[in-house]
Amino acid sequence: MEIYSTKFHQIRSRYQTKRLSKKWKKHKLVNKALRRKGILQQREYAKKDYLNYEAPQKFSFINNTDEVLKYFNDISQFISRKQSVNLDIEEISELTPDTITLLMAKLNEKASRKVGLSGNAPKNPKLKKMFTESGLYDFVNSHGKKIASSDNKLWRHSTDSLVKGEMAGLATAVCRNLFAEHGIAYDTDSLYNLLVEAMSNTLHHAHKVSNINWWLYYYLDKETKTLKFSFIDLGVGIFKSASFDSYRNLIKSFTPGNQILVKPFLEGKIISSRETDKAISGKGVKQIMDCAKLAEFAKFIIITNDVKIDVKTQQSEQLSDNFAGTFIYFEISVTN
Amino acid sequence: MEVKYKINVAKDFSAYPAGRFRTEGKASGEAFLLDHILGKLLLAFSEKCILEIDLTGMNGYPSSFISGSFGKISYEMGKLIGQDKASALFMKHLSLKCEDSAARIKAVQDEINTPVAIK
Repeated sequence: MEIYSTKFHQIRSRYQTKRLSKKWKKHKLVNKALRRKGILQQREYAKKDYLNYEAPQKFSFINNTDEVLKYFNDISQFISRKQSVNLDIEEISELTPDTITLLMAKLNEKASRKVGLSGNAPKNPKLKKMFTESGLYDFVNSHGKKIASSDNKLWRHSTDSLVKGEMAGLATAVCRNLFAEHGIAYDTDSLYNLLVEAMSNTLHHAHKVSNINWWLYYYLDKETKTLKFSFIDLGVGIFKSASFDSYRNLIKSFTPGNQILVKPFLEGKIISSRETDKAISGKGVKQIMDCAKLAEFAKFIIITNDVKIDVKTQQSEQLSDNFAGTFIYFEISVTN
Repeated sequence: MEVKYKINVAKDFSAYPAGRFRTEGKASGEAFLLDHILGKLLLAFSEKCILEIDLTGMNGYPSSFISGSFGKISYEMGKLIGQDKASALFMKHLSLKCEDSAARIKAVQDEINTPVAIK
C-alpha cells in the first residue's frame, strides 16, 4: 500500500512540475487559441446556406459504383467552390460498410475541413443501426454519444507514418476468432500479408501529391458469418501512380482509359516507380492477387481511377467518373 | 554442421513484420536484415556452422518484408558470386524452422532462390 502511495505521489509531483513549465503553458495557450478559432469557424459555417444534397437510394459503393462515385465527386466540386453541403442520407434504402469507409475518408479530407459539412443518419432502422455503430461518430462532431459496436472497427492512419503491422494483427485476430467460433483453425497469414501490403503500397504510391490518411474498416456480418473489409486511400490511384514499360505506355497513349492496364496489373506486371531496390521489389501486388484467389475470399473488388476490377472473376468495368484513390474491398466468409 | 546461432523472429525481432525499408517502421525487412541476420549469417559463413531462423509465431510474411531482408541479402550476394551459388550458400548455412505454418518456410526459400521480381 505504501509503495503505491509513494509511486502515486511521484507521478503526481512530476505532473505538477510539468504543468508549471513554459512549454506546457505555451501549448495550453496555443490549444485555447485553436479551439477558439474552431468555434468561430463553425459560427461562420452556420451563417452560410447549406446545400442539401440527397444521396442515391442504393448507397453502396461496390454495388452502385457509378452513382455513388458521382455523388462524392459532386460533393468534392461543392467543396472546391467553398459551398457548405448537407449530406442527406435519410432516405437511402441500401447501405454497405464500404460506403461508410468512403464517406469517412471524404469527410476527413483536408479540403473538406475548410468548408461546412453536415449530415444525417438513415431513417431505415437496420441501416441506422449499422451507420451509428460503425465507429464513424468517433471522427465527427455530433450531438449525443454513439457507441461503436465491437463487431466492427474503423481505423484512420496517416501515410506520413509507418506501416502498422500491429493494426493488421488485430484485424487478423478478429478473423481467427470468427473461424474458431465455428470450429475452424484458420491460417490468417494471407489476410495479414494482404493488409500489410495494401498499407505499404499506399505509403509508396498514394501520397505522391501530399500526405493523406488511409482508412481501414472491418464489419462483421453475423447473418452471413462474413467479415467485410474496406481499405481506402484518397491518393492518386494505382494507374496514375504506377509505372509501366514503354510498350504499355505506348498502347495507353492510343487508348483512352485505364482498362487496358488491368490485365498487366492483375498479373503483377506493374513496374515499381521507386528507385531503390527496384529489381527486387514489385511482389506486393502479386501477393494481394494470390490472396484473392483463396476460396475463403468470397468477394474481392478493387476500384481505382476509372476502373472497377472484380479480382475473383478477373473482369473489369469502365467507370463513368474518375475515382482519385484506391479502394480495396474483400469479404472473408466462414461458409466458403 | 552444427547449429551455432539462432534467431527467433517473433521473440527477438517482431511478431508483426511489415514493410521493406527502415523508414516504414521498426519491424521492416531492412531493420531485420541489418540488426539481426547479417552479423550472424556472416559468422555462420566464416565459422562453417548453421544459423537457425525460427519463423514460429509470426503473424504473416508480407512480401515486402521477406524481399527487404532475405531477398535483399541473396540478391546482393548473387551480384558478387552469381545467384545460383549465392542461393546454395544460403541454403547450406541457413536452417528455417516454423511450427505453425509450412508456407512461411517456402516463401522465404523462394525469395532466397529468386529474389528478382519476374515482370
